Amino acid sequence: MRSTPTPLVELRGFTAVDPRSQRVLLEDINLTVDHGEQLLLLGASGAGKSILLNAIRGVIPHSVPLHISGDCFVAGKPVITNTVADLSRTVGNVPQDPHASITLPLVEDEIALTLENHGVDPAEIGARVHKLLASVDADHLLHHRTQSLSGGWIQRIATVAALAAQPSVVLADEPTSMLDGAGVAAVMQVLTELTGDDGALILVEHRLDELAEGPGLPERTVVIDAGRIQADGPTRQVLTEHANQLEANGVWTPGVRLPEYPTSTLTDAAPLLRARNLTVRPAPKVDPIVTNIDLDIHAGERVAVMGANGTGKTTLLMALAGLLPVDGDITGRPPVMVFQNPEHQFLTHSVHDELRFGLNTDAATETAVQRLSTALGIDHLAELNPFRLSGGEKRRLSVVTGLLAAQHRAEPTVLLADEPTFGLDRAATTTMLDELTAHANSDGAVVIITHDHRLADAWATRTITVTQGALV
Amino acid sequence: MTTLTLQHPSTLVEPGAITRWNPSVKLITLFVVSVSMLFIWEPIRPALLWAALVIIALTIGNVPARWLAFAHIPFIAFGFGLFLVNVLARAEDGVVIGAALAGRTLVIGVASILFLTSTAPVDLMRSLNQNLKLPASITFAVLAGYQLLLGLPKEWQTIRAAQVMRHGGAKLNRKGKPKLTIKDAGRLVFTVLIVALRRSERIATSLESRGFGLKPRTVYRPIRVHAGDVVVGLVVCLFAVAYCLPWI
Repeated sequence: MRSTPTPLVELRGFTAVDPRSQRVLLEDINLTVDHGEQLLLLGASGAGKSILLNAIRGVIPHSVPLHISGDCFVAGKPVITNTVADLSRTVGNVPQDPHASITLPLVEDEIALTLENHGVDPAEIGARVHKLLASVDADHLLHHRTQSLSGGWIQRIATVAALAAQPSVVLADEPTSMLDGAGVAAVMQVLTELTGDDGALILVEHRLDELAEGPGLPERTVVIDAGRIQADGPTRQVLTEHANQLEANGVWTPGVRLPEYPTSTLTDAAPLLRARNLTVRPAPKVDPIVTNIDLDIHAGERVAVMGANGTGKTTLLMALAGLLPVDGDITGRPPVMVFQNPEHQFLTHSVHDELRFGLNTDAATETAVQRLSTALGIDHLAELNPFRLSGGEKRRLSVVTGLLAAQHRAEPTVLLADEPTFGLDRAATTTMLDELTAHANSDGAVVIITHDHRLADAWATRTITVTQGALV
Repeated sequence: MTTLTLQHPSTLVEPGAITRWNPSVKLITLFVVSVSMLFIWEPIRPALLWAALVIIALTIGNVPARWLAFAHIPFIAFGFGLFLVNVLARAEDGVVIGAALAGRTLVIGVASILFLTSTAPVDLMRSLNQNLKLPASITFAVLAGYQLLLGLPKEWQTIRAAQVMRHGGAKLNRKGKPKLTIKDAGRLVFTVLIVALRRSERIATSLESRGFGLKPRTVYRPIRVHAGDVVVGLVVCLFAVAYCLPWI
């Protein structure tokens, strides 16, 4: 349905250059998105997907001062002469990091804030907040404190808060990254419903299989690589015609399976880590997330910990790592844990030092450092400060340091990793899983948290689900 | 490891009559009471006023006695300092003036405690914005910063745990508790600051993307100034001025 002739988004010869490094981030982008169109944006990490979304919502150049040339129009208005707030009348942005959009202590106020900003009649706000919450199955959270919610619930709240004012263009940068299966369906439903017949959706998403099987893939796909549009057309056509190139770039495409990892044979030796009668609470005097559980992790095992949002997967891992006071016994070799936010674990001022921190300085270790950093593509970053890397590079660095510690500190031990493939493209995910498998096969073991069922099915030798105080 | 939390005093106290008093009017009244105390130069009237305020705090203020006593510590310390300086510096009237100043400190102290325990930050900021027309850009910036601050203790603990992990476990001190060396603390502070800075940048852009700064804004749950709020405020202010001025 094309009710007006003006396209909702129009870029003509749009180019963005980082003035400090002179790096061309977007080059000669020509893109038109009409009313009623839904568009999937594909590309490897660092290809420029997020930069393109930021250009459309005006963050570039208004908040991130890049040198831009060419034109960018939103509903006919030039982005360059409209503030981000002005543009928000047309453009809604579902944030990549939902925690970073929460401003107020109560869920109700958080969603109402967007409506207040847009001058919605106060008499309508209450009903609209209810409806928005219900659309993501979060009615029960109306009077909850935002601080107490888990990542997945925060993501749902942030999504409806971002789209509360019913913008006609919705930009969504991995809107389901922290969600379990039910959450993915609910959020995608909201995104498609809110854009309706007349709006437009531009979606960056890695979980394409879940999308294809559930709400369906957008009809149009745009592929960008190194800042340039490589392909633009009907999704099925683009995916077939460019299959090889997408494969070579390591982009997630629907239907491409992860390799099946062989099951490992377990020895009768004592487990690397043994928990008995374990009861774990996230904080003293709070209901436990698991009660009286027994858990053995043997050498060679690859365990995936799953469970709905907010069930306490991270807390369980921290308890196994010995970082939380628990009731019960945990015996065995002290494990190594990789945290969800890579920045939390950086201790040095260069990638080179970070990789070698706390390790023996022998030839074997040095070889392992070189091999792993090359395999995961962070070898060329040695001189950089870890805090200045891109999101994907930070994640790879933090898991590599964890792997090295688990392998080379004293004797091989269990590596506990909280979402080690979060935000990685397919190529990096596959390499990461290969390396985790290699660690398990060389007398270690790996326990990861993931929301991705396919990944768990293909890779894990055992899947544990945390649910209502027990492990299944 | 105990769990660090940061809580506003208002979340620890059962809301009562003083909570329902309009925050802006309450703030102005607090200011008037504090200013009128400047005219008192003898110790009896502050002492009586202090006693009255303590009784109000313990009864309609719902402030737990223990909590009130703890909150007094800084004011008592400061008041005692004032008293001592005056006793030593002024031979003739040092005791009287010192006691008056110390009493003044305690009165303003209890009044502030009453204000804090009865006013949620969000209500205060909304009221300043709606009733006193302070720009929304300021009040919401304060609120967003305050939310960030509340999250910092948890962030601090997670980062500490994450860094301890990198060290292969914490070094223990003589009592068997994890030891935080100066170098560790430096790294910890650095990371906490970076993470907080990143987050505040993202909050700012995200607020803008949600239309913050557009005009006109509407208000979902308006904080109203009722006639009762103003009458109570005026009565308290007039009483304070009359009680404190030297000609009475």
